[in-house]
Amino acid sequence: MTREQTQSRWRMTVLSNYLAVLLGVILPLLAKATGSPWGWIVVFVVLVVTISITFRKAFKSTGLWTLTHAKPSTLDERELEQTHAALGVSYRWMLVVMIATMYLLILARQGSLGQWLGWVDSIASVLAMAFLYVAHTLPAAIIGWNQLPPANDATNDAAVAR
Amino acid sequence: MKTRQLYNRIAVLRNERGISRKELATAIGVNYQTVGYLERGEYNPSLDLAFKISEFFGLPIEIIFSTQPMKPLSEELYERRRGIS
Repeated sequence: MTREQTQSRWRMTVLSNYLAVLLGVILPLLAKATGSPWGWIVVFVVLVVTISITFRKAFKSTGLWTLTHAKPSTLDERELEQTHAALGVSYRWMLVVMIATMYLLILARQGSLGQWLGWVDSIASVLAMAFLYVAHTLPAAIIGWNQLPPANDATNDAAVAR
Repeated sequence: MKTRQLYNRIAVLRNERGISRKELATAIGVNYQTVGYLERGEYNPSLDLAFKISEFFGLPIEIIFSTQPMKPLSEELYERRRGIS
């Protein structure tokens, strides 16, 4: 498998992970709308398993989680540069999304818009949990998304003659 | 700031001396994956790291790194010999 193919597969895993998180966020709304919770409990279990498996494949086994959560003193200059850039981008994205969500929550809790935005308020705690998860995984996702995965660097593989 | 692409001979020098990426990485104080990124030209080293690599191989920095694509060492050696004789 080429590095490009590995990267495409990794991207699909990350997208599946975040899609499962998104479904987990709207699950209480779906359960409330349909009435019967048992089917949704099964969906919830499936989502938790999906998130766990894709998290392990995308972030833990690739070392990206360790990279973005390591002490700076344990990283080399390339890793520091990568994590610094990824944390910066992640911080900006999270800031915009969090401010927008908080504004929606304020609108949902007061005024005439409450009748249309009440659903945001009902999933506020689940949203907070999802944001915590995304805030911790987003830097790793940004690094993996933008960079081709390392080749088999552990071995003394063939050098490119120059 | 966008930096220029740097070319290097790390892979050929490492192979010539039978050193693994892990061994080189330990000697210059980086992660072994960083050696791979350096060899493929996907990461430009700092001046300090470039000097560490140069000191490790015992060669001048301009023999290992260049802003121009590098000729094969055999070709360069042949041209130098022809120039001397």
